[in-house]
Amino acid sequence: MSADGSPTVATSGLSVSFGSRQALEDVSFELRSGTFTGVLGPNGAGKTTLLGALLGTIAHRGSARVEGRPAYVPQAGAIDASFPIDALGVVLMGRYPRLGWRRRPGPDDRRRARELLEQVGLAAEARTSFGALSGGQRQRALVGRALAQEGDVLLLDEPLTGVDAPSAEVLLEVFEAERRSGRTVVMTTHDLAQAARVCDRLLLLNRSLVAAGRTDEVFRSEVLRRAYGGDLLLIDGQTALLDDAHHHH
Amino acid sequence: MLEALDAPYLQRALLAGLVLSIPLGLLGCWIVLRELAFFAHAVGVATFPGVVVGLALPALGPFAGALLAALGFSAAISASEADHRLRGGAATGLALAVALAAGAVLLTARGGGAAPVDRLLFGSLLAVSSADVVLCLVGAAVAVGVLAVLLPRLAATTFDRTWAGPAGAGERVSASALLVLVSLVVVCALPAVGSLLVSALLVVPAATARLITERLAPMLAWATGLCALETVAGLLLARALDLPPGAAIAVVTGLGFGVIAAASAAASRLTRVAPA
Amino acid sequence: MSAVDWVVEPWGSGFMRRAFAEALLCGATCGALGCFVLLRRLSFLGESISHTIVLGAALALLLGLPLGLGGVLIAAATAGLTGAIAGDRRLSADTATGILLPTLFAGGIAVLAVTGSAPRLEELLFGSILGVGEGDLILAGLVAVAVLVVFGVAGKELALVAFDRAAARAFGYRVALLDAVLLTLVAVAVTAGLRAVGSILLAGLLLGPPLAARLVCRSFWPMVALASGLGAACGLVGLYLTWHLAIGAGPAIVLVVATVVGLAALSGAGRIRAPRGSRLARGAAVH
Repeated sequence: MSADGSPTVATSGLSVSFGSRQALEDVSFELRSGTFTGVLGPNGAGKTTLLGALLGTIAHRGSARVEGRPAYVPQAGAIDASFPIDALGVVLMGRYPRLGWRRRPGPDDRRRARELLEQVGLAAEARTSFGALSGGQRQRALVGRALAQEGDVLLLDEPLTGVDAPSAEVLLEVFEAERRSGRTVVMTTHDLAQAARVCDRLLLLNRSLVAAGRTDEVFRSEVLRRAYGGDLLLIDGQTALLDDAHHHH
Repeated sequence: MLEALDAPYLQRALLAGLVLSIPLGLLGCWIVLRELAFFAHAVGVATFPGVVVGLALPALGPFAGALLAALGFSAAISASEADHRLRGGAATGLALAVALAAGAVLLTARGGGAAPVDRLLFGSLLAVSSADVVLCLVGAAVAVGVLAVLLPRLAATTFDRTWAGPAGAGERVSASALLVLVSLVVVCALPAVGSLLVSALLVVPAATARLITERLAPMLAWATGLCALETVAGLLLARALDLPPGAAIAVVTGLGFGVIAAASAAASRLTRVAPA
Repeated sequence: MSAVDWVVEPWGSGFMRRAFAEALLCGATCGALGCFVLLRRLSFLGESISHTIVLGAALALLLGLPLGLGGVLIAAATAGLTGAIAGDRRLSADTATGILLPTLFAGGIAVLAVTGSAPRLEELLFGSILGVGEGDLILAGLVAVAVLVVFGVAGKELALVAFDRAAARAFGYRVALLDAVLLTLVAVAVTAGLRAVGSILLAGLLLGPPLAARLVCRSFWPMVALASGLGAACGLVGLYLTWHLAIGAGPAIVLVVATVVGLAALSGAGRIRAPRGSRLARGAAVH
């Protein structure tokens, strides 16, 4: 167990509303470097909104601060898979912000992108078009793109939803390696059991913050029930299954 | 102004317009709700080469030529949308440019004459014959009759296309029937409003009606009423200012939408302020 | 006539040389920008703008302003109004475009008819490339330079926005600004193309070459380059047909474009297969 690093992600009194609908209300927490945090909550709990506020792409009240540069993996379903681009091209896009305007990716960027493709297990698919990749492979390419940003905080929106088991294993290894190298990894997910297995910190959201802390502290039935209400099914006090189409077997 | 109503050609145009407003308004609602406005525009344009060929071949005639072109176009576009790289209307956009180019070339090849190009594109008050009025009556009756049968299924699947799961084949049939009816009514409206602007009558009154009401039945009624009113106003405007009727009607529908949209925006601002 | 004569003869007259230059410039710029229009699913908006600029041209004729200025202003207004109407939760972008296209276009026709400029209508509809003047060539040249400059400065960023809007925003790019730059370029390119192929045929020049390029290319920038080259080549071949077969230049260019797309579809037909992404993409559309 390594000692916790310095705080890199912090919100204070964070609130977001869309018209008359309150999406997040008075959320305050702090995450340190070298941690892997799962953001949990039912549909509409504000998980994606929280990431948007941290990235500064969603208007909010209160503060949402990210120390250093964020790297981001959006939900894969929002991307147009028919765009003519290959896996290598997708990863190279992660280099764009550091290249600035005008400059095109050079040999160094390509070498780095190929290393990252190797890391996410897509070395053989570098020249395969994005649309021809499987759902899991696409997600791996998008994670490769986020790694190419070389950010200090990795924000992942449902990175394991709809992903095949081998891809999920590869991705979890990548996330764990990022955590070990001192980055702050934040992942939203539907999957309670998986989050409990792989994350060392949990944030329970249901518009407001229900609980935050080490996984073994948060993953207790009475806390979970506050977030999920009656939708929760507890088996022998340990395994939790959500009464939800998204659960895994 | 009113003595103009004695002119038989204007009476025929008004009668045809009023009769067609019913299917145009009803179909327009489905076009707005199912986001088929691009298709409606394109199917109108696609009739252009059909009309030109029909005029050249008396055995075919402009009505049948236009109808065949419209139906063939619908089928081709449905097929191209199945290819993911062509989705999003690009093939539709290209196809209608090609339809217009082909029509223009055919027209030049025939050596101009009977039908100047702007009359085919924007319609003419003088072009509506008694036979056209009869075709409009028949076309409108067929369209309204089929729509009455389709109504429950359309209502269910438009709001939730995924619901069609168990009844997928039925959804495909009603979707295709909708496209065929649009083609039929568009072709009936061609002599008066022309191929390039007929989509205004399908889309704009229904979109205006959508701003007036949240429920389906009143929306269908409003769309039909607005369509009739705007057609009559447009035809009289065309007569008064010597404009192509298609253009006059489209301008009137646009003004109608602008007025209702402004009123609706003002009303929603009022309701937003009130509770706060 | 020998093959050499067939090729060389049209270059003998000044108006044909200007027409060739116009066709090359407009074909290349429309082809390149059309790739963005195609991939961002803005085809209906492109079709709409190419019609509504007739209102801009008609108003410019009425007020004695340059046609290009009227066209660009109305093109910008069309894009802005489409966004405003589509912003209403009750109306889709498709409906918004379907409202503005015929009504503004009809407004242009009405203005032309009322002000006695109706004879100009046919050249606005089908183009008049054989009557191209110096001013038209300068406009087309400026548009081509603008496209090259913008692609040089922000090409990769525009591609990123087209591929993944959410990521572009998260990367810190001002997506709305990039959108405005792209739409402005499309507006000026379409306005320049009005002279070459006319309002109602512009969609062919804007969407056809990118469609053909999409069918044979697997990556983005080669697709843009090919579409640009195809657009220019179609303009060239179309003008030869005009010269030798005495058919309208606008329709001839569009029919050549259609032939090229048909050939690309045939050559790519063997490779077409159901994409794995179709289910995913449809899911997103339903949402």
